[in-house]
Amino acid sequence: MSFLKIFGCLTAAVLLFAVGCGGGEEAATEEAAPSAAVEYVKVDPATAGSVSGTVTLEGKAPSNPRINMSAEPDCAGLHSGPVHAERAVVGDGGALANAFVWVKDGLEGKFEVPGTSVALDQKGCIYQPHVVALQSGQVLSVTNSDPTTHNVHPLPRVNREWNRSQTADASAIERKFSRQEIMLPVKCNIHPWMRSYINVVDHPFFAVTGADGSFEIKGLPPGTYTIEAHHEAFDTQEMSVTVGASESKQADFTFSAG
Amino acid sequence: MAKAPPADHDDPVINSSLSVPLFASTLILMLTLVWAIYDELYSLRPWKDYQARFVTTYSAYLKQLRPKQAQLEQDVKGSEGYQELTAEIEAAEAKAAERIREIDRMVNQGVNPRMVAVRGAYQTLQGEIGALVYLFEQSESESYRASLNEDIDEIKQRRGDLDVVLDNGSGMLETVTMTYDEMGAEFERLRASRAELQAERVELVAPAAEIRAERNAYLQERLYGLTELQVDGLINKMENFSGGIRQIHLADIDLVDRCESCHLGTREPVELTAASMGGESVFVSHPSPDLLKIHDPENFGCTSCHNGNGRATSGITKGHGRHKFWLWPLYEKENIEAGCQQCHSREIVTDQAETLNAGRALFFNKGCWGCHRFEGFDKEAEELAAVQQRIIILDKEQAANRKETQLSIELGDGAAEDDVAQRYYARAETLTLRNSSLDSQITTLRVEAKNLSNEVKKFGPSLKEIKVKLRKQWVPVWLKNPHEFRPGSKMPVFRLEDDDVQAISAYVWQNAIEGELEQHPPGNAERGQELFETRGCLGCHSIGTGEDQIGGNFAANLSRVGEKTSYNFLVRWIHDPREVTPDPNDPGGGIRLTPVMPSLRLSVAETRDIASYLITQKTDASYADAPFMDSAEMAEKGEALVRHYGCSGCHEISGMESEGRIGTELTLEGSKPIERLDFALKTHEAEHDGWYNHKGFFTRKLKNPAIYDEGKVKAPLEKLRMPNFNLGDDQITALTTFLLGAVDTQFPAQYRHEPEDEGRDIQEGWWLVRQYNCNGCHQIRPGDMTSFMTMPRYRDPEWVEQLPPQLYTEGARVQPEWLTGFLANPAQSESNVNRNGLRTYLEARMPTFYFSDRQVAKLMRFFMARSSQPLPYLPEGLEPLTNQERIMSRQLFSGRAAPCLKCHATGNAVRDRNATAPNFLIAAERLKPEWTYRWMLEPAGIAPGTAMPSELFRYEDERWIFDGPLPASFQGYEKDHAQLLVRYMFQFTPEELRRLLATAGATGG
Repeated sequence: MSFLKIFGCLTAAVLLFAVGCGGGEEAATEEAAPSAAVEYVKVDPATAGSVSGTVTLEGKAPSNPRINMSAEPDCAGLHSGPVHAERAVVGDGGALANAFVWVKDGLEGKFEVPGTSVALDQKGCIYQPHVVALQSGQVLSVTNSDPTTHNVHPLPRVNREWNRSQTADASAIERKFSRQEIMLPVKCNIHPWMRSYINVVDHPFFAVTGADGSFEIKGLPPGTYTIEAHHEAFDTQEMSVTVGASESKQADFTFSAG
Repeated sequence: MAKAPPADHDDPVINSSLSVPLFASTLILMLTLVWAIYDELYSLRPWKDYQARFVTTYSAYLKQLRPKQAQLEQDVKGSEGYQELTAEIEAAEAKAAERIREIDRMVNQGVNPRMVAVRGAYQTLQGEIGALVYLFEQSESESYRASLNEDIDEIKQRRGDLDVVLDNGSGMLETVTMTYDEMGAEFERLRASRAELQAERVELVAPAAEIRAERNAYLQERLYGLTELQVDGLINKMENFSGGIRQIHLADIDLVDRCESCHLGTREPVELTAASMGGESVFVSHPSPDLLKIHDPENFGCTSCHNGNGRATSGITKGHGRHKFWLWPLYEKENIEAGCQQCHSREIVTDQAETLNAGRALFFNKGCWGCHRFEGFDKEAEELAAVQQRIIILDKEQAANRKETQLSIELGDGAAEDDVAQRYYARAETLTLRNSSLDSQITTLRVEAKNLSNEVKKFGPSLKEIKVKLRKQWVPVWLKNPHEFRPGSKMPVFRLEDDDVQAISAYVWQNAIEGELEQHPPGNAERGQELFETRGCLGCHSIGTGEDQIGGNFAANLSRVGEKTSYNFLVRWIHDPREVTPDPNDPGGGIRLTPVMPSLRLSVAETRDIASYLITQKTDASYADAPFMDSAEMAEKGEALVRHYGCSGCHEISGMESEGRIGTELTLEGSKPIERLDFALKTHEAEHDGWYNHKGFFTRKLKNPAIYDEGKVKAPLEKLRMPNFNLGDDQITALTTFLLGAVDTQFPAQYRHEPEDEGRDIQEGWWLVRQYNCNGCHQIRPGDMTSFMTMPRYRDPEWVEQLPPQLYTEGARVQPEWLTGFLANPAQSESNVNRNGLRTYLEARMPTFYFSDRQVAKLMRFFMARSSQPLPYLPEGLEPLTNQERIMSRQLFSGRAAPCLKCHATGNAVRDRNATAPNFLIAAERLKPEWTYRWMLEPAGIAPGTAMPSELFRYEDERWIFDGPLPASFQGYEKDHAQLLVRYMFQFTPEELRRLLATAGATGG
């Protein structure tokens, strides 16, 4: 009799144990993740430095082919003399215009996107300016100052492609590019000579050289950077620059025409 | 004599205590029980633990998700668009509210109570009449009947006063006097009036309901994932989670899958990643919900695609079937698409199975089917053999019939009785007629055989031509190691000793046809290079090595082609790949297989230019003399080797046309019992290292086909024959996936993908697309990368419009008849062939593939089916243009605002210098109007990257109007502008083109 009792008790105990363990569950107490507000990098103006320099071309500049607009009186009529392509615009002392210079490496974090838009105009069936630069997410505003219809057709590798026609008096086309992309060509299918290059950069540290080949990248936080210079007709150049607090560094690039 | 019972103290039952053994047994029993219960509850049910963990982690994740989704929902609801719609709903409701209230009042306070009152009185009278009618029917007496009739009439004539409400809902009462019939009419009137009011109400409510639906759609579009309410539902589901085995049971295929007992997140509506589930990848959701929609687990289970042991619940290894007692272990991640093959075995392209597709493509493009039969590959040769067999049988039957006819006539002639003779003659006649019907059958089969013999291809080039084609000394060098001469070549490396190489070279050389090539003067190599790089050769061929390599890998890399062949041969080959050297031993021509290489319809001069360029493609490698090539003895030895290595599997070789394949059939290789895969001396190593399975066998064999000879001493001809293809790891994975999936499926037909009609058209088309490498130039599925697109030249803005056209919506775009004609003759002309028939502006040529009629039809149906286009195509008639409309269209077409003719070809060479689009003159016979309409509205939605600009039209007043300055003639025109232009294009004539050009010239547009 007593064995039966022990047996019974043990069984009950085992069952209770099992049930007890099975029922033990931890309550989940996880806090909701904080909302993901984007933190922009703030550059302290007191310590910000700059990089400036000149881009020059060494050797004989390639010739810029003449654009034949004869089939397009609407375009030809807007020019008094012959028009040439802007493949390599070289000034005194080899100063190279339309080179795009930017900080390729060395920056971290996200930078606030300017609310202003960057203009690209079609005037005389030529894109002005020939090289455009803007920040990713910034608005590109394309206008048509010509009496004829153009179509604006960027040919991106990483961004989304689009192609829109713009009649003579149409309002500006406003578009954004979301991905960083250097020397993104733009063409007009109606006027095949028209060519512009858009540079989309994730930060605001870039510049396009002017007619004198000079550029300046301002407001850089101190650090060591890889600066890169692109030109549609020549191989890309690169150099490393260390900018100290409030320092202005010189970075000259020389492209070779050979 | 009875034995005295033992005394009490002697009885062990009474006497000795069993306490100890009993206690010990009980203890053991208890422990066993404890162990059994533990095992029952824990070790045999690991899924319980998984379920507990899932509930915890998932609930936590949902709770964290909830505010985010709530915020998102709130944001959308706060957005301008949503608010606008809400305002619209309110406005619509407000607009209708007054009238709705009025209708409700009229119905509820007027029509309905009035109906009730009228019906009550009416029914009372109806009852009375009913009773009288009953008496009338029962009565026999005429006079009684007459009096009853009078009573009934009296009731019907009786006018009663009724107090009823007015039906205008004012609630006012009136007293009306009505007869029985008038009450009936009044009731019907009220019912009709109520129906009318209700219909009006529905119409009044509709606008708001429509906008509300739009608002819901707006919310759904902008809300990623679930709404707050849905998340709450899931949280609730987790709170009330009831544990237990989750099982899918499919009785017809005896499948029981309990995978979801642990993989609980598989079908959750929230995307669960390992990161969101606390790093536990067991709980992630199925990576492709789209696939699950097509293959609903409730109908397909899990293991039918993934393999593994679906019944097992006692552990990971067992459940996944990864032990030696389970025949079908879970597919590894990289081979997961093997599961598709068993049911999609008829396809060469299966959507969403890119690894498997790559495996099939490799099986095709590496020529595996030259040695290994695989159902579906090389089916033309098999069909041809079947057709030819059938012709032989019918021929024999005909001959036998003729003989019997003759005999019957003779017997008839000699018969004693007329009726016997008649019977024989009748028999003869029947047989003659039968033969005539056989004639037509045979003719049909001959046509089919002709089609098929045009379609049959060998994988490699014909060796009958090598005497005119190849440099003699090059042959042994190539045979020794094709990959050294041409890395990545499809010709694999055989395990040959030097004298084997010499013997084979001698045999194939001596069995080639002797012939003379036409002598050509040299061309312009520079121009040749340009032509080679732009005409389309690089759609299939590549040139250059390493980083400088450009072009496709469907055909040979031509970097050293100048070392192996002659200039004159190149000219002949490029000009017409079908031209063969006449065989003096077979003046009838025999059957010579046709190559895959198409004709680009080049002029002889262009061909010479290209050949001149290609012949310069060589290194300064030197080639030793090869006197053995002419040795008869060597050739004799070579013949045996050529048969042994199955060279004729891929090459056409004189005298070996009917040799069979030397490899094992692979159609069901994946379900071959593991014991029948010969791991040889590697068996122990494989078992020890855990690769004693199909995957282990395939991957190692593909990496090193000689591996299972390792450690063995074998005579040369007993060694494994499979050559080395030097495959990359990705290629091995793809091929292994394909072979793993090549199984004898257990599933009944309804599970397998064997579609009819459009589905089959698509399957059949893909085979042709692969066989002829249409993808080398054209994108057919979104994401396709053509050879052209990889070339730096075509990334230049100047060249992008030179890319061959995308064919995503080809079936919707073109008319089937046009497409058939185009595929058969891309020049669209019999005499002027050195051109593109459609896109005259493209440097690249659509080649002539010499498709059989059958192939043309298959390709046409493929494109139609891919765009869900019904066949036959019945064009919808377009409304004829009015004169005014023609003038308007012409003005718009040629105006400054819509410079259509800037890009579209016109047939005028000067104007067409910059053309990047086809001539409108072809539109009517080529295009479908509805496609053309969509194309004008949103070209980028049909061909991303097209030169045709988007947003040419804007939607206004429920029609599309041209978004730009319009010619004055459009004043007051109220129809759709895009539709107008479609009609203009489809009624375009050469005369209209002339006028258009004249107008355009004048305005400079």
